[in-house]
Amino acid sequence: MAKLVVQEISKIYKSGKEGRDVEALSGIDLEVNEGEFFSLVGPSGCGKSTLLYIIGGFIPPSGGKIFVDRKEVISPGIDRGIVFQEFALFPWKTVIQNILYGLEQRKIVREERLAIASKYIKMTSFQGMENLYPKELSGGMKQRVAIARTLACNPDILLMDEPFGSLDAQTRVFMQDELLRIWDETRKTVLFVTHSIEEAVHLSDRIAVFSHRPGKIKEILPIDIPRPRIREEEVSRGQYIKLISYLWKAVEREVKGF
Amino acid sequence: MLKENRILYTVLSPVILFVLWEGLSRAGVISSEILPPFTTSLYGSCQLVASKEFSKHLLASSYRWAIGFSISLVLSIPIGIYMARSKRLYNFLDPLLTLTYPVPKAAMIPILMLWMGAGDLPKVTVIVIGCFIPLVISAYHGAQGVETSLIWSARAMGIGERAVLFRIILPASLPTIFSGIRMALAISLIVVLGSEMIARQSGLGYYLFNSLEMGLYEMTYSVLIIISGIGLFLDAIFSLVMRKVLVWA
Repeated sequence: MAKLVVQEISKIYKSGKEGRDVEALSGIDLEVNEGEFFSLVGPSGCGKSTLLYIIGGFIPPSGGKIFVDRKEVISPGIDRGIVFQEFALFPWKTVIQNILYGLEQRKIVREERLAIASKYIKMTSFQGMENLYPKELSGGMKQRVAIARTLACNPDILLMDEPFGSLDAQTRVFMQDELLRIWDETRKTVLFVTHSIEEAVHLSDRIAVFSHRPGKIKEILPIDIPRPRIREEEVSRGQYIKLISYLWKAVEREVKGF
Repeated sequence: MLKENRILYTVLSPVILFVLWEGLSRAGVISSEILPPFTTSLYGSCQLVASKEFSKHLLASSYRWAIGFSISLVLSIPIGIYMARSKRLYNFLDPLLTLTYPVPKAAMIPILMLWMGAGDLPKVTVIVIGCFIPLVISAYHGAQGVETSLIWSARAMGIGERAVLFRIILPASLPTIFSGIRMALAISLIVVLGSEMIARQSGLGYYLFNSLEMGLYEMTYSVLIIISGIGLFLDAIFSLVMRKVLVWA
């Protein structure tokens, strides 16, 4: 049985901007395996982030069900951690306090909490910067803290909503490799929403391509490029380039399709 | 700008005011009867602060202000935050706020005294009312502006729906709330003085307008200097607290 099961999910927003109902998602079926890196790509407004929020339990679906380990999702839970494009760090908390925040909600002794936090501080190379406030960090650093904060809660599934979308190109590439390294260490199930096809191909085990509104899954594409994936080698690999141009065409059809 | 320069410019405008004040009075351009020199008024302020009679009034005002302001803080900020989270509460309270906004709050003191008697209750109440709108509105806007992603992140970390209000939304709204507090601070002083002026029993406002009515202009100016000093003092404390609380902003 898959780790995450999405069953006939649909989402209709009542009276959208145009004054009528907007169908954002329609008949989404999906299964994601334990430890899998799964990406959702598609044109803007195709509802891929909405699907992520429904899986997170933050917004209710209009129809269908979500199961994590066969248990139905009805609300947010610590089994599903989330990372947003705009980092969503608590600005009034320092780096270490942000990372500790989720741990403090549980009955874990202080020493253990600190041990967990320092593990993720190390994993994201934040030693010596624990007491900085988010405003003192660059975008890439903020996102690393956000990832560390989410990982510290030890969720089963990591939901990532265009996490590198607001970073500059170099930081983005760096963060992708950081994420791969961390994922390799933790082997979490990851559900990754992105606009970037290159990013999705570089990171994922499988990629779902969404159609334009109402969002449906057009196809699911396995990425059988061997790991560890080294960027310099990849770009000269025919398979990599073929996958990217195939996906580009698939998404392009959707972008032009309205 | 250099730090020395900044201090120089900040001090410059009050100094010009005081020199003009002193000069116009000493030179007889304005009769010293209606404008006693600055130094004389300042000396009068020092004497007033040292006098027992004046201290009594100062204490009466401070006491009402402190209670009224505190109650308003505790009452208004949660209401403002709840308004941002509950459309129902917003729809219920918004017309009331809009309707009562232009009413000069100090002018409500006779009515409040009619209901509540001549004690401190109506005077404290009028301060609570006076600070209510700026505090509610700032808390509302602060809470309204909190990013959903912040709330969802907290929820995914196991924070309950109700706990989010005071653990996430309140701290995230603090920068906006603080600007509301600063506004409420200024309004509260006006309301204290204004209501005491109308109620005519005790307090700084009473003292100020009594001296004016009895033609003791020198004392009027002395009291005004003290009032400015209090304003300055409260604002300095406010800035200090804000810097401490909002180190992260």
